[in-house]
Amino acid sequence: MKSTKSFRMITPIIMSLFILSIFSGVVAAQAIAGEQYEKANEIYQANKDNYDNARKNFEDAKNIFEKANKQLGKLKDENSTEELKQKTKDYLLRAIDFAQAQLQVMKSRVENSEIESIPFNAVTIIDGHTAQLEQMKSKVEQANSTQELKDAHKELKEIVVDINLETRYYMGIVLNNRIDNFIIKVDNVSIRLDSAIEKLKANGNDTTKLEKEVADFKDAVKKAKEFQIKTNDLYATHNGFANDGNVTNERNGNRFLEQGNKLQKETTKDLRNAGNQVVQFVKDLRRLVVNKEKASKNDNLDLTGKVTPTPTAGGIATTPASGGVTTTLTKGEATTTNTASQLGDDEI
Amino acid sequence: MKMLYILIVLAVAAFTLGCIDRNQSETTIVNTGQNPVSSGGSPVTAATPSEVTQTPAPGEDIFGTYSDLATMDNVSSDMDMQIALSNEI
Repeated sequence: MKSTKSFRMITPIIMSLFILSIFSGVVAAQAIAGEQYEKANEIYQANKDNYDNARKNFEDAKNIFEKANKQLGKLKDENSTEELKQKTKDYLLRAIDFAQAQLQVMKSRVENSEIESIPFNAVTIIDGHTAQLEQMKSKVEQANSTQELKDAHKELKEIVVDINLETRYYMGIVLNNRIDNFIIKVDNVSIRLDSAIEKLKANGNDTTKLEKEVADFKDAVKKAKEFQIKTNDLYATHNGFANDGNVTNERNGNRFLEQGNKLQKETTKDLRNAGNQVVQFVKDLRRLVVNKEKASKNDNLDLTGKVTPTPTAGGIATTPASGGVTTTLTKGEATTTNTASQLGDDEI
Repeated sequence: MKMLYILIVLAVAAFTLGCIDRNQSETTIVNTGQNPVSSGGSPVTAATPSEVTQTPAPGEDIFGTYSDLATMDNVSSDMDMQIALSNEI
């Protein structure tokens, strides 16, 4: 009897815990996901700021070194040689800092990119270079002779060639991935724009301008897709780079990246045009809606002497009227509702 | 008592599921959370008028295309990161 009573008491507690635990997981998941995104953003931005500082310091040290090299390099006295050595050392150390900062920006980008969008372990390569540079730093700090500094410079140059090529390659892959995703997105946008025009047309609106904008948008997307196919082919071959992402041939790598970069610029130019057409479309759609609204207001004034505009959340105020169009613009979605009785809702 | 044990097991399982769900979301954010926006690092080459994205007024970037293009520009600017060492020392 006693056990039954306690069982009755414990059961709801356990059930409550059970339900709470499910929700706590979901809530925690969302909170952690948001935090992770913010954290990734912060790390990237901190690395980028550090890179900008390192670049400035490097450029300054390089200028000082090059001037000193011109002036002091000719002089053979001990003081001049010593001063030049110090300036060379400073320049090399700044160059190493700069290269390390660049690697950190690359690393953030790679780590924030979609899983498996980079088909090799880029982070391992980046970390390897960072370790190499750290060793170089010790060498430079301990260098006493001009020859030692010259050797360090030569070694650094070889590492930097690889870092520069890998930066362009890895960032190129990240960009390609974003372009691919964007193309998928604009295909979806295209369907929505077509659908919106159809409904507006059915409602007796003049959609000539909107249709032209959609046609231009589609044309730009088509061109972008053609360029992107070529770019993806190039990146599938990745001349000058091994499958593991390491540089195998500097010359071939440079050629491949130049071709790829040229194509990517064309693709993004066309996508930008497409994006501009979308923005223009939305502007003109709004204008059309506002004009309709004004016409409806006048009609209402004429007929009833009063206007009752209906504000829509996140969108623009509209006046429902026969044959009018209600457009609700919220982030990521626009809903155009023909208020004429024969038309239903339509999502752009 | 059996029921009690079952409920305790269920509660533990739910906590675990919560954790699993959290991990999946972490993966998702790695998958899709890729919009770090850079304010620094201006592109090396100046954009020509045809390369400029029309800046939408608030509420006009309803499909997020403008922000996507801005992110692409940032990645492009990272592609331009290059170290130019002195020719000789």
